[in-house]
Amino acid sequence: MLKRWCLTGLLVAHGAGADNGIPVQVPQLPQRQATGAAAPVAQAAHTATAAPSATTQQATYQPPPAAARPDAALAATPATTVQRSQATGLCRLDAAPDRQNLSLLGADALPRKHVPLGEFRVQQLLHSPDGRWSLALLKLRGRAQHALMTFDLSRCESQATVELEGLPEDARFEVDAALLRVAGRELRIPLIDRSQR
Amino acid sequence: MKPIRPVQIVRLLLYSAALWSSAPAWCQSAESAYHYRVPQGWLAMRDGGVETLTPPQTEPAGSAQLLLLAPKPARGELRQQFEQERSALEGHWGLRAPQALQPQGGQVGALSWAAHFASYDSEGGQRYLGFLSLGDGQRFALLVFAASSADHFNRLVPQAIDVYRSLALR
Repeated sequence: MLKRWCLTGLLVAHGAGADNGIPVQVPQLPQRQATGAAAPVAQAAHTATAAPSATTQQATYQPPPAAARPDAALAATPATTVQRSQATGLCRLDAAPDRQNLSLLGADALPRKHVPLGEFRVQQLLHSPDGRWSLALLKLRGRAQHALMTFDLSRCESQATVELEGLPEDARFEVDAALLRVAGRELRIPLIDRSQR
Repeated sequence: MKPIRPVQIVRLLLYSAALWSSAPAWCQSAESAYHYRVPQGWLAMRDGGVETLTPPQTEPAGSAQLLLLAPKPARGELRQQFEQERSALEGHWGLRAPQALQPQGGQVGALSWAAHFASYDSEGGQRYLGFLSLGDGQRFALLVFAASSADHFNRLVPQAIDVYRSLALR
């Protein structure tokens, strides 16, 4: 009886992960051809929509926070780097393709600082919604050792390095801190280093 | 009733452990408007009503992400609302010259759904996006999967769709 009850409970619990049944087909998008010679009209139209009017935004969606926009999260591409830096006037953090170096780029898109990571590799970059802070999640090559670097983009400087017990499962920003959940525990990383001010 | 032997208890515990370890991670946050399965290794972030899932080890780092936008009240037919919201986001993000696949959509029980996949040009370079929505008649949910290359998109979109298929409104 107990055995049957346990098995039933386990199967029900496991079955709770059932899908919603939506039969969407997995797409494959072809690589686009370079369109560097785009018509001037299209370029002009885009420039106008880069800073959409409040009317446009309110007509449907309130725009997601800056860090939640694709162009912000995809900021690792050099072209996007130029766009963001010009828009915000802040530095931005960029990872090299080999993930062994980080660069802080100025508003003019020129490198200001270079941060070699030694044996560490960049796993992920996270950006605060207000564009003032970036976090780099790092992992030591070949070992289960993790770290986090914080960057103050208004000062264009790295701020602190914190050892982590693992990669965060969840992260969010508050005004003056990043809250990470690592190995089931919440970790508060201060983002204002008062010793430098 | 037959008594349970110790060996049966051990077997049950082993079976439980095997089931538990094979179970995917689920978003159980009380703050989330959704319930969904987080792909292994992906990082979930919340900011306001927007949840962002980023895959691990994409090069360059952060070149793909999945956004779960805050649910909105349903307005009329889902397909129509979906097209309006998608069009507004495309404009807001400066996406132009779309090359879209055939739209998908339909009804599954009480759920309506619609999906749109396309590549675009943008000021930041090429973008590859999937817009995925579902509605239960009361609320409208929208997910956006974005990548900076076709390679990233095609490699990671199955996992993004896995999130979509596991999605439930709370």
